[in-house]
Amino acid sequence: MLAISFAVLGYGVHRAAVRNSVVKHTIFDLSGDAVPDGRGKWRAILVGSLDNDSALIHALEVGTARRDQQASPRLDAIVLASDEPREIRAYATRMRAKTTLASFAQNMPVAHALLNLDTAQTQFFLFDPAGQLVFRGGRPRPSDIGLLLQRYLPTTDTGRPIQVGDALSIERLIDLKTLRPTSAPRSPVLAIVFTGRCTACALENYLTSTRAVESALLRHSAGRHLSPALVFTSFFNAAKVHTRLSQLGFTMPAYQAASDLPGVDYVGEHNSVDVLVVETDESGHVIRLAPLNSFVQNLMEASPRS
Amino acid sequence: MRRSYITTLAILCMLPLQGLAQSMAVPVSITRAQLSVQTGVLRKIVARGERVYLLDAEHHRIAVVSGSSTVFVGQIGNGAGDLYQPFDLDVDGKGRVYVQDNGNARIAIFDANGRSLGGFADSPKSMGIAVNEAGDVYLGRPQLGSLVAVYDRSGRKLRSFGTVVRPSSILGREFSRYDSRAAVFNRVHLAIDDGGNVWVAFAFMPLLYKFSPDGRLLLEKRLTYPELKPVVAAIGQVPGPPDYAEMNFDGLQLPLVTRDVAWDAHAKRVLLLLGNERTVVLDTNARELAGFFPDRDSGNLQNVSVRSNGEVLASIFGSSHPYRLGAKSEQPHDGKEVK
Repeated sequence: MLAISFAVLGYGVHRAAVRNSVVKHTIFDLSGDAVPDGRGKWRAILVGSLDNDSALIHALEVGTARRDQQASPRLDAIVLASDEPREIRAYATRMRAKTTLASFAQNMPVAHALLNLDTAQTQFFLFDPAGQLVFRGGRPRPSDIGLLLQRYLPTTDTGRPIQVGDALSIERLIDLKTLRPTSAPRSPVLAIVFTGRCTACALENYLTSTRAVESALLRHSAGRHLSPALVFTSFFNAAKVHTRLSQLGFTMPAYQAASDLPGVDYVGEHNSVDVLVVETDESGHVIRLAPLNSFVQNLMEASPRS
Repeated sequence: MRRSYITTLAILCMLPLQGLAQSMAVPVSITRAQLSVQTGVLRKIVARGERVYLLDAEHHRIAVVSGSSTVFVGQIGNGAGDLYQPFDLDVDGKGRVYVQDNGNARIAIFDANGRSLGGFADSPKSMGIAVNEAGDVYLGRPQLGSLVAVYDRSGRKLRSFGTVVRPSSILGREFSRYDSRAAVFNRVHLAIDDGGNVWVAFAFMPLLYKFSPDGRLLLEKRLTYPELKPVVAAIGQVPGPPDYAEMNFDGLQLPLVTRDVAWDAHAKRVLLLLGNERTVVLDTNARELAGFFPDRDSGNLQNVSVRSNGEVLASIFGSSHPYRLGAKSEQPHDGKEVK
């Protein structure tokens, strides 16, 4: 009896909200062309705005790219953005987006009939290869997308944490001062990597504590001819980080990974480091790794008091 | 050698039971608790009997720790036994776990072994959950016209009680603009004591109620601590009347006046965690026995719960580690966390 009421009142609400199989509905891209129906593939649909949900879009791109490397299961991802089409086009160009970006307004019939949405509130939908909804959730966090994909489309490679000797490679970077794509800083680097395990904690607590030791980090970098950099994983909202960095007065160059950061994001659920200090050699390979706290502690102990 | 800790409360028991000045809140150490589990960011800790329940908001599940064994309850999803953005939990006398499954808009129920027992819709969304020994579910649900509504495990409403309070009557006339949205300000934390009495701490107003098991108001306590004034003032500075206020993983849209209320079954007392992280210890008549606060910037104390041995556990906003509040004299804090 309990299970029945549960199904009717709880889960049933979500099921009932999505009335039909995803393959029966056509989604149109910005050019007005029909997006392939994705028959036989998993399909993720993210509804949201480019400004507020860029971290979710990045997380979806990362998750999709990771699954592209495997034979199966395959995943198609579509973002239905509430922004103006020209803004979506500009974003796609600027960010070199690989995910299909479409206009929510131009897909209202699908949004209404398939997703039961009349407004572009941030929502995430996941459909199985038969086109049936397996998950619907409001206001997901980037890490939620990772967890959902790992639950329903598990990859054998959940990633191992980055180690000494690995290459610190980032395919695409955004300069957080200009919010535009940029090239990676010249190696060797001293990267203060915000893993995004808890984005709220990072923005509220860790940025403040990092700012407090920024001058020491810069001195250390200068002394060892390292390019200093703050690096944020794709889990962060670039605009929010940009604002916070500006408020705190950081001078150190800051970047966001717009692609997978191997060994740092999606490294499984027991990666408990919020901020990681990564030092590389001239070839970009890691020669030193430490959580920020212990790195700074060692730095302070090694430095004469001024 | 395993260090033994005399808990904060045990120390506080030696203090005079009444008439302590508010300024006598004592500093206590805050250290990592020794629990054999690794979780993501914690939203809540609940201690019941020998078990500790950790609401792992990051992974949408509950870790149930008993000695050296851990059982995980729930995973991200919409289905039976799944959780999505769980927010709060409580446990009944038979070890059944009741979860405010916020993202799925339901109260999800699990048996003591973590098996799903179903649940019922959480609509309108509640804030504050407590469960009595028998498994009656108390939800803070002011949108329905009373502070607290009580349900059985199938979701059948049994009764409701408590008058919704106008914000201006507690916070002052300048808050009258919020009176039309009183439900926001009547969001509460709940705890049930051994006698089945229901303790209601208002999240956004300096007010504490105690109700009898059948819903009679037994006492009202205005929280007049001077430290709360800036918190209340901060609420007044929120631009425009909030359409709604909702706790979530990313923080709060309104500053909290109280963060939690918990029943200490060990010492038969109530712990009230204030918005400034001070915890006050109250007797069953809401008389203040003592107060304490962490001896360092702890981050943000989020909730407290007392184990059967009297140990006070705490969760910290944004942290994945359970903490314990210990007597300062027993464990001088050296600035390093204990693993």
